[in-house]
Amino acid sequence: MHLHRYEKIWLTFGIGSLVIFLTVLGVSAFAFGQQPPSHMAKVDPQNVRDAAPFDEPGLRQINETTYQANIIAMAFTYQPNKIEVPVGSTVRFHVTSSDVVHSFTIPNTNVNFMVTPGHINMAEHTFTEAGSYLVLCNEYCGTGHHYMQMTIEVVE
Amino acid sequence: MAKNNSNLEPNRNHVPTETNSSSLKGTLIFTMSIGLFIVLSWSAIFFLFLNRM
Repeated sequence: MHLHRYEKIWLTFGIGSLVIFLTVLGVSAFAFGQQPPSHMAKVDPQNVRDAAPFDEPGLRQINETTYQANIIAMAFTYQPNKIEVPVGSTVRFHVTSSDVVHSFTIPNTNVNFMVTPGHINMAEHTFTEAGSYLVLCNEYCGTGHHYMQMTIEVVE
Repeated sequence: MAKNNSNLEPNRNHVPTETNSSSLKGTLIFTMSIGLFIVLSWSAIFFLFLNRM
């Protein structure tokens, strides 16, 4: 099969890009553990408060610098509405919804995911700077959607 | 008759090759432009993601 010189150039460029993208994706998924916010962890949406870990919403310390935050999103608030962690802490957010689809968004971080009823949606973030972090819902969930927020206090 | 046909064949093959090489230049430029746009936007978003970790 005869290939024109230009065709060889763009085929090499295209296949090379594909290989690089898939390599980055594969390394970040399998070596660094990046994963989608919702990955097969489920909870009964009718009885969210009866099932662990949402029977005790709030912050749980896992080790010296790691915390797990179990949060229930509902129209139009989060439970708990405020958590406090020391600076440098890594927080694993486990969030579910007891009613409709919400979101859990901390602006200017990679924590930005949908909160779907029946699923335990997860994300992890290390807070390296002290301050008050706002958490917002960015999925329209009803008339009070714009009031739906919580805060994360990162203290020295 | 057979001689005439065989004389025409090389010319027919020769002409389209030149046309193809000139017409692929624009295709190459646009393919590479779109390719660069995809690579640059993908890289920008990827580095934004890394900065926010």
